[in-house]
Amino acid sequence: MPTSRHPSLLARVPRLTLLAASALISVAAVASPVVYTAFVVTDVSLGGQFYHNAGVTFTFTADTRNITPFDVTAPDGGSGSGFLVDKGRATVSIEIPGSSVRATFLPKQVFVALDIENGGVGFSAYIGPNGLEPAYPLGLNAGTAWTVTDLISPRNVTGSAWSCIGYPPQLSGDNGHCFDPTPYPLKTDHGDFIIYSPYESPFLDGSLGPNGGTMNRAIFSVLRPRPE
Amino acid sequence: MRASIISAWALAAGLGTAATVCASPVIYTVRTIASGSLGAVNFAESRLTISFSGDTDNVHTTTLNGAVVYTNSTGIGRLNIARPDGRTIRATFRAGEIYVRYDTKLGLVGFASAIGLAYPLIVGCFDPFVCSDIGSNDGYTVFAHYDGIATELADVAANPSDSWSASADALSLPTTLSDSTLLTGHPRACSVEFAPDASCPMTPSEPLHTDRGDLYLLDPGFESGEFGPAAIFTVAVLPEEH
Repeated sequence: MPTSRHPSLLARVPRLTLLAASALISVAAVASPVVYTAFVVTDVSLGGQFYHNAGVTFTFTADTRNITPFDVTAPDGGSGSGFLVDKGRATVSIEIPGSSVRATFLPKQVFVALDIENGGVGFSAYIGPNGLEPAYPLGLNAGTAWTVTDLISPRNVTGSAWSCIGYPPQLSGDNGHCFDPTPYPLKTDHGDFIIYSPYESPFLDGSLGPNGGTMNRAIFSVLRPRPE
Repeated sequence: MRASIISAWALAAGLGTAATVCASPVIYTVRTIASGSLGAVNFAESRLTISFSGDTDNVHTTTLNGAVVYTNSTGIGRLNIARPDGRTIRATFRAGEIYVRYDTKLGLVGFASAIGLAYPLIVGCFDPFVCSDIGSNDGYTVFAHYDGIATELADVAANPSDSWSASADALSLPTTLSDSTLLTGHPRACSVEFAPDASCPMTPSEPLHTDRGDLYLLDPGFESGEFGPAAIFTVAVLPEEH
C-alpha cells in the first residue's frame, strides 16, 4: 500500500487532540461568527456549464457555537475524529478570465470538517455512495493542513487538494481510485455542481494513496470577522 | 482575494484593448501563505497573491545548458496580502521590479527580480536549483509528484518513462508562459543563494519597491515531499484582441 514518506508527521496527530478539545471548551462558550474558505484551481461544472481550470472558492459562514466534536469508525475499520460544523451558509465562486459566477449550496449539502486523527481539513458533503464524503468537494491533507488543531483560531494553511468521492481511495474508493463524481452532484441555487480532480498521480500499481495521489494544491482559511 | 482576481482580469482586459493588434493579454498569478512586511506593516501567515499582467508577445525564450527558460518582464506586478485578522493590503510594484520566469528543466516557475532568481517567490521543488526529486524514485513512486505539478512535468520531460505517474490531464498541461496552465509546488522566497541543505541562509536585506512601501518577504521554509507550504501558480491567457 502506498504510504507517505513522512509517516512520523501523522503519528504526531493524536497529541493534538487534547489541544483542540481545550480550545473548543475555552472558546465555544462565547459564540461568534466564523468564516471558512478554501481555494483551488481545477475543473468544475455548474448548472451544466463546464469550467476548465477555474479558480474555485468555497465559503462556509457559521457560528462557533455550532462546532461539534466527532469520533467515528467506518465499517471498513477506518476511523476519524475531530470537529465539524454543518449549520451555516455555504457558497461556491467560480472564476475564469473575464467572468465569474457564485452559487449557494442548498441546505444539508456541505459542511466543514477537521479530522485531527488523520490530518485533514476542508469542505465535506452528505453525498456519495456512503452518504458522507470527507474529501469532497474539497479536502486538504499533508502540506501545512495537518497542523490545524481547531476550527476556531484564525489560520491560513495549504495542502494537497482532494476532490474525491470515496476517500481514502485505497479503503473507500473504486479499486484504489476515486469514484466518478458525476452521479453525485451537489445541489445549488444555480443547478448541479460537480468538481473534478484531474491532476492525479498514481503509484506504480495504478492506485492513489492517502498521500501523494493528487498533485493539486489548495488553500484553506479560518477567518474571524471583526464585530461591526 | 475574489475582488482582486476580478479586478486583475478586468484590468487585463483593458490592457488588451489598448494593446497591439492580435495581442494576447496574460495574467500570471501565484497564491500561497507567506510572512514579511510591506511598508510599516508586518504580516504573518497571510494569504499572499502576486500577479503580473502582461502580454504573450513579450514572452522571451532562452536556452541555457539545455534548459529552456521563459521570461516575461513587461507588465504590471501587483500584490495582495490577506491577513488572518481579515485586513487586506494591496500594492503595485514599481515598474521593472519583478518579472516572470519559468525554468522548464527544473520545473521552477514564479517571480524573479534583480535581487535574485528566487525572489520574491518561486514555485516548484522543495530544494530549488537542485531539485533532487527529479529523476528519483523508489520503484513504486516517482518522487517528483510529491513536490507538485511543476516538478512532475519537469521529471516526465526528462524521463518520459515516468509518465505513468501522472494523469493524462496533468501531462497535457502546457509548460510555457504563453498558454493557460496550472503549476503547483513548494513556494520558496530567497534573495541569496540557497544553502547546500536547501535552506535560505538569510532574510532579504534589500527591499522590493511598491506604491505602499518596501516589501520584504520571508522564505516560507520547506519540508520534502508533499509536506510543508504549497503554492498555486497559474497562467491565464485572455482571448486575443484584434
